[in-house]
Amino acid sequence: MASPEKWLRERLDSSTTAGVHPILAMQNASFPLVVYRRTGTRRERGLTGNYGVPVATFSVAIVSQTYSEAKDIADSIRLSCDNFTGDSQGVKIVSTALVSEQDNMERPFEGQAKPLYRVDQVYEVRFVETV
Amino acid sequence: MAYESSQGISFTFSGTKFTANQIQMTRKVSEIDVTSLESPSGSYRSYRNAPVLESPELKVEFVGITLPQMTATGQITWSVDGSGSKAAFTAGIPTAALCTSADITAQVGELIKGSATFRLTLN
Repeated sequence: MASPEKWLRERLDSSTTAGVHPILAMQNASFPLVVYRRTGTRRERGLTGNYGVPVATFSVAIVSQTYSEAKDIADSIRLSCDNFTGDSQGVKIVSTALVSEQDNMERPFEGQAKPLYRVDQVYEVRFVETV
Repeated sequence: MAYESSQGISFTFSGTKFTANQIQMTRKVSEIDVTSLESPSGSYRSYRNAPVLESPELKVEFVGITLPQMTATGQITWSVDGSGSKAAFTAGIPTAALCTSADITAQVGELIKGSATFRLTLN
């Protein structure tokens, strides 16, 4: 099955050595880590139905124990994903745009003084699907 | 209330198929103001139908980068899924047409889209 998730996973794996997880990272996952998730799909339609080039929205969360490492990983992912077009992993990517990026934090674990640092990115990816 | 879905309508003009997301046909009648000095004060203006007919106009919005040919009158061919009044709708649109204006728009984050206006010839 051709899906933009396969493309995104390949992009994430190739741009960072951090662990990459779909949807949710396991509780014992080591840091730094990256979690990606499709948060929506917009399918434009004409009078004959679905055009076959939907836009998927992905959230990518980069979590690290240091702020600078989270920012560095986020920037590597940005360089790898933003503006990407072409065929990859069996899916044709028509356009990619990093539309949002913000810093966040995870509350510290019990007994830890420092929080975990998180960078949240949102990508809009238009791809070709069979209709 | 009678209703009919728009889904399933496509059209070809001069051999080029267009993926339309909106089609709109407009018929209108010209009128002549026949108000005169003999019209009573305070009365409404008077109008009569013009002796010649206005050609219907068809406006289409579509996805793609191909403009309709604009050099000569061409033929519109409709394709309609299903049946019912949707077929009657397209059957009522004249098929000989001259494309009188067209444009293409490229916009950030969007598919390239176009629109065209056709002057239809009653046949």
